[in-house]
Amino acid sequence: MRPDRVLIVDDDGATRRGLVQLLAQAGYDATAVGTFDEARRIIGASPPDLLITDIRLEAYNGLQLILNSPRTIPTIVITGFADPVLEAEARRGGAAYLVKPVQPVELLEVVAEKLAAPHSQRGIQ
Amino acid sequence: MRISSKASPRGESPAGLQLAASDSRVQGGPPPEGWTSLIGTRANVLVTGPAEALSAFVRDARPAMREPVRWAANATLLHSQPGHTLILTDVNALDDAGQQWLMQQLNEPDGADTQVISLSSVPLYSLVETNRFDAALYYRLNTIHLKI
Repeated sequence: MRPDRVLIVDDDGATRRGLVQLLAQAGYDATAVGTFDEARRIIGASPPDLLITDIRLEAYNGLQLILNSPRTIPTIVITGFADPVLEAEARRGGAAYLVKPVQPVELLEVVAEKLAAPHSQRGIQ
Repeated sequence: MRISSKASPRGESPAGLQLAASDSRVQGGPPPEGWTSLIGTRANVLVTGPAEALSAFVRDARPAMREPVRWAANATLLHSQPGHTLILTDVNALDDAGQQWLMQQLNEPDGADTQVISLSSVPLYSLVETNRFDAALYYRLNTIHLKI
């Protein structure tokens, strides 16, 4: 069985490298990109099993990747800025919302939960 | 805090952004692909582009907006009709006080139920990069970003 594919979207290189390493060690097929446009291109061509995205992607908001996705993608939002309204919007879209710093164990638990959830609970419809 | 409004009393479009349903001079090309469904998500939308293209965009997007639709050059009409669409023109012109006031309004329960469609004729992110526009407000207004 192929490992679940995880796409990480974050404009911070250190965060990308850390998340890829963490997820790869946990057995996932993790890919990371640094821009909204790269992420949108990958999602359009080959949607991942799970999306992990930041909110602040330079001129874009990572939530747009969820809203604009051609199909339902389980999503975890990781951000350095707590915003209750954006959190509510993310959760309405079916995404988990985590504020940095996120402990590796906590993230892996949420990743596993998202990938194990029934399709209808994974993300926006 | 008192902020003057340029919006018309009836919520019609300000003079600088008259709807141009039959205006053949409108330029700017078609709206981005999938924009209608994005408007329908009710998330806040930031639209950047030339003024004429913004006018054409609003004309084309109007059927997908939540009624009633109100116009404002700032946020003074935010709470006039909870659940409505507020088209915020010239958002790039908001000064520090106006930005703070708008953020406060968006944090109110009624504000969260209003879909704000912000229009900017300059790349608003460039103002964020130069600390002339609040980053938190930018991402709040910019759940969806359409460049036209």
